[in-house]
Amino acid sequence: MDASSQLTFLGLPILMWIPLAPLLGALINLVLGPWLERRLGRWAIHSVAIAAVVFAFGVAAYLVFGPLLQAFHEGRGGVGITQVAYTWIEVGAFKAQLAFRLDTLSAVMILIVTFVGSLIHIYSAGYMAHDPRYSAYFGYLNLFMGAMLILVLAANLPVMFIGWEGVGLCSYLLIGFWFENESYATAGRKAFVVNRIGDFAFLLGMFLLFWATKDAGAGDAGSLDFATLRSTAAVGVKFTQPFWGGERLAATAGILLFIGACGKSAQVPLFVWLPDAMAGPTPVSALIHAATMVTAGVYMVCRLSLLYASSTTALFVVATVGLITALAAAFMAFAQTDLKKVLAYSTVSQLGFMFVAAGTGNWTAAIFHLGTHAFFKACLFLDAGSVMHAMEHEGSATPGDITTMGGLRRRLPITHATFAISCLAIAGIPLFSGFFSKDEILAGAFAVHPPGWPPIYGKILWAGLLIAALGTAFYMWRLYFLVFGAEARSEAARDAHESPRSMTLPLVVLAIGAFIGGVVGLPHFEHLHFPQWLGEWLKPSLAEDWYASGLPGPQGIEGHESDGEIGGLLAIASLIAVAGVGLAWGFYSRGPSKTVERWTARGGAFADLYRASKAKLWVDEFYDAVLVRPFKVVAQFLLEFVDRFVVDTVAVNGSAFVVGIFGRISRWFQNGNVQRYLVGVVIGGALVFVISDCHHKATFDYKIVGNQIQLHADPGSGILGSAAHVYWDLDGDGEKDKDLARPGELLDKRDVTVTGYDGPITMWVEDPVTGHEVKVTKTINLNEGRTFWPPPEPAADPHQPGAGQPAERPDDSQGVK
Amino acid sequence: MIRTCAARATVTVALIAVVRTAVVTAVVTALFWLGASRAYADEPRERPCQPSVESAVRAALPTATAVRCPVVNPEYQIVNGQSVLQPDTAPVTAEAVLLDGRIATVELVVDDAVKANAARPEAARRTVRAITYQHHDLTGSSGKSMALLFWAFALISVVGALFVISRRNLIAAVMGMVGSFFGIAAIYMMLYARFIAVIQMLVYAGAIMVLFVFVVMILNRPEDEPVAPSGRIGQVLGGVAIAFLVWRLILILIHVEPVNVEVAMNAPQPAPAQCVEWQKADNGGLTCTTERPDWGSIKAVGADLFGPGLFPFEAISILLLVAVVGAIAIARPLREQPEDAGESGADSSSDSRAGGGAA
Amino acid sequence: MSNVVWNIGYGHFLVLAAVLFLIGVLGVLVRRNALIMLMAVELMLNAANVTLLTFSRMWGDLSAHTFALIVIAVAAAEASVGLAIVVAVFRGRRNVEVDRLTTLRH
Repeated sequence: MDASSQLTFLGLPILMWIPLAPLLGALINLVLGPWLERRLGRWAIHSVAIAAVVFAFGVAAYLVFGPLLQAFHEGRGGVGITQVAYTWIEVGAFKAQLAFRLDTLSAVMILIVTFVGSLIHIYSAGYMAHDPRYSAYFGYLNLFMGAMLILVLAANLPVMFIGWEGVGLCSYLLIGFWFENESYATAGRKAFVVNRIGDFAFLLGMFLLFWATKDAGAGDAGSLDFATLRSTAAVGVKFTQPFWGGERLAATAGILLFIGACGKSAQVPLFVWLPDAMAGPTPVSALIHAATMVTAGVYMVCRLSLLYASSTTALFVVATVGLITALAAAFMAFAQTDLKKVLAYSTVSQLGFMFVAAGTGNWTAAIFHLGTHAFFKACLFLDAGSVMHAMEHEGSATPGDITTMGGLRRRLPITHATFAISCLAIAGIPLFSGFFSKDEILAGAFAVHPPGWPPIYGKILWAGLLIAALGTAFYMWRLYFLVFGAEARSEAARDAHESPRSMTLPLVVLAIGAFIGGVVGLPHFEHLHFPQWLGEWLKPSLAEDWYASGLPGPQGIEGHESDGEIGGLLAIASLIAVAGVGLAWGFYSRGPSKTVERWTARGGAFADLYRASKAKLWVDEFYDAVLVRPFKVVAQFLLEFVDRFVVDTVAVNGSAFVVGIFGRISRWFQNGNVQRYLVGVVIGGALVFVISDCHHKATFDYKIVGNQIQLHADPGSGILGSAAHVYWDLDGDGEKDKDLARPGELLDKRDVTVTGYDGPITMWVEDPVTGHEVKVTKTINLNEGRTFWPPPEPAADPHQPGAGQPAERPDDSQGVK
Repeated sequence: MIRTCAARATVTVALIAVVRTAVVTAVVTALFWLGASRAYADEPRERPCQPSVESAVRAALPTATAVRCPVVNPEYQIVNGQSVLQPDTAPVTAEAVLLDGRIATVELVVDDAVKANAARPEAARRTVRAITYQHHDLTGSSGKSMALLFWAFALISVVGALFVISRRNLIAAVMGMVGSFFGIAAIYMMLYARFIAVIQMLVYAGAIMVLFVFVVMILNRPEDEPVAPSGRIGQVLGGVAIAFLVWRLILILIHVEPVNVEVAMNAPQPAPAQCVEWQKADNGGLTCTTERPDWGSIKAVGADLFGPGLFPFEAISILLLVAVVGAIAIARPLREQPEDAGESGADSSSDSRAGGGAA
Repeated sequence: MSNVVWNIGYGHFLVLAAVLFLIGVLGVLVRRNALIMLMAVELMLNAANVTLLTFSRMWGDLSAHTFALIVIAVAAAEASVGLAIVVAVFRGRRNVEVDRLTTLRH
């Protein structure tokens, strides 16, 4: 731990302030927002929100260019700064700390997130100026920033998962921000549900890693710290151990985590939510669904680069899915007529590019493209927002419909200029940032051959990406020409005017970034020593070789290609980009193309393809048929049977019915009439006697001591039990015996002792009230339970039955009451 | 209208009260004299005790003033035409009047050691087996005349009570109540609760009943339907249960007997006799003249009331104060209004309240 | 039989108290005039007093007299408040039949 890890601000670890500042802003805006708005006006709301994000950006910049840069120069860039806020979970040996980690990888991410985020916050202040839920919007936006920064800065997987879920929540809230519109709310729900699928796999992968890293970290429990997970000495061997069916553990965990990334980063097959997510406000699309949140999957894969480098199977899956996504999304973008939908598919496609980069172990290129994409795609989205803002102002019903636009370049000069720059960047025109990052990916795919892959798979990836890049250039410039080129095709487009300063300023900044951003990752010419800022910077944080094979890893790409190859690849990529732009210019420079319409009309050459693109390859319909409808059937069954019948009818109504019955019965008593209550009291009093009369079982028990029988009467319970008269026959003559002590009266003691007699003994219990008698007879054998030797002593005073003398001898009869 | 009604009712009440009181007084006086004259006739015979018995009793009870032996069993037997004194070995019972006014019933048995020496029965020593304390007054309560009085007063009480619950005329019900209370006061007297009996007559039959009569006059309205029309089943069930309870309670309670010896000896005792006068004795010391604390007299009850019962007594004074204040607060008219207007206003407001609540 | 009639014991007093009490209960049970009900309650209190004094006599404990006195005082308080309520109710409603006093029930 060096001194930089001890940095604090206001008593808290300084790293914590980066996510904490936006979270505090969110708290203020969500709790006090309406009040602030009433008291101070709207400027207070966005001031708080923007200040929070700018503060986070300031802290991030200070940390990156101060302590972290110093650490990087000292060779500790991969260790960076780790700060623990507090211990979050501690169960036995398992310990999850709320810890933040700033190394060179997360440094890039937080700078992008906070910088782009700040610009979009500023933009939002203008864009959302007339929205009724102003404070909620900025609250959500700040909450998103906080969650995203937690995700990026997390030092272990559980903390990353907090951010992962947090951004998902904010995404849901912001997509459905205008929930009054049913389809917008549905879009939010869809995003949430699709993300759940991915998150489930993410969790499984996390658990698997936890299980796998037992004994690897400190203690005998698993550790999910990134520091542990990227330590080859600690867990590298574990990653190559077989799991189910001989599959490597790293592959299983990697694929599971990648499914999570698919959900978050909108990859095939979980990409369907992102186009619908355009229902949200446009700045949200720019921030969450283009620049930051959707790149979280890419970031996660790069973060766990050692895990993926340990399993080329997982890498294969990642790269393949990325390629399919890039191609499919580019294809779907062709026929879209909604401005934001085109941009959304473009985003999906570009994310596919990034995953191909990650899948080929080209981590630097993935992060590079992530960064440049954040700039130009955010710029594009904000341009789209600006355009729609201009169109919407005139009351157009569908402000995003590009068929009604055209000729906007003169009406919206700044928007047009920044849009053009960003389009050039995304198309990969040389010298723009997208050119360098995309070329990095293409070159990496062309050269890299991870162990265990099919022979020319890298080339296939390269070719596929080239096609996707061609498509990208084409549909982006089709968009450009339809929106800005030719003449206005509607009144709204003719009357559009430029957006306010707060919206255009971020556009300009982002466009500058989109233009010059490429300088941090110039091509790897062997003889031209371009500075490799980004590559050098990221190197300490990423895996350097294929762990399992021991072969030199993707960081050594430059060694595999000659300058000529690199130059050739650059030239091909440039040609492809120019070809795409040219194609678009050819078709669309004068507005919608008659040729294209002819081809795509029914019976035309490309009619089927056009329909497939227009219908987004029927993926939504497929999911609807395969997943949603069966699910709905099950849900319907559960609703009808379990909920409506079992719960509602049987449980709820049934219990209410039963309660009602008893209520109806007791209403007769509990009717507020005191006389009625008194009836109950009287009947209860009578019942006491009735019941106590029923319990009148008389008996007696005895104990044999020597030649004595000690009798004890038990006349029974109840009121009459204690008052009952007890009479005895102790000599077997069937008559009630007399009491010797009281001449003329019967023996009515409860405890009687008989000496030297065995035979039938009868007890009568007489109810003193009714005179009812109960007779109990028991035959008692004195020798019961006794040995015959020595013989019992003869009774001291043997009686002679039949001599007219009283037979029993109540030696010690005593009444006890 | 009301005034004339009240006047008529007052006259009626006065008449009824006078006639009833006269009749009841006559009957009770007659019964009382009848019972009292018979009471002395039924006194059990007494005989002087044997010296051994008396000495044993005096040894056990130093405060005994008089010892007598009630005739329980025939003391003489006729053997061969000659009366013979019963052998003195049988258990006997003696009664001793104690200084504090109680009667102690003493059971004595013959010592086992002496029993063998039957040759000199007069030398047999007696030992006290059990002592039962009773009040002196109880001796006067037995007898057939007492029973006659009890039945008479019990009948008055019960009939009066039945009058209360059965009469439709409220004045008749109140008068039945007075009669019932009178009978109950007499029953108290039979239980030697003299002070309570007086209080019963003063407070209940006097004050409370006068209060009732006043209220009856205020509410001078004949009752058209004394028994609620609804809930007949409940009333019938309750009536049956009450009948059953009467039968069952009679069967049980009639057999309640005085508590037995052991329990009686452990029972809490009345306050000990107190000195009323100190005198100088011949030997220079002081002797104490005690007075028998009367059971149920004002003095006895007062001693208990201001001794152990002081807190309940004080508490009840606060309760009475609260009741007086509460009664005034409740019965006071809420606002001064013309009677008709107030009536209709109260009716309508209560109706509207009920309607609002039901809605 | 004659034993029961001529030998008056504590049981007789208790039976009398029980009968008086049950008559009081019957009165509260069936009558609907609040005044009669109050009188029936007084009857029950008196029956309780008879029981108290009987047991006092039986156990030789004078403190029951104190309690009987207290019962009488409570009965007086109860009668005064109860009659005040009856008067107040009558003033508002012109009748004192308890089964019509249902305003608080709803």
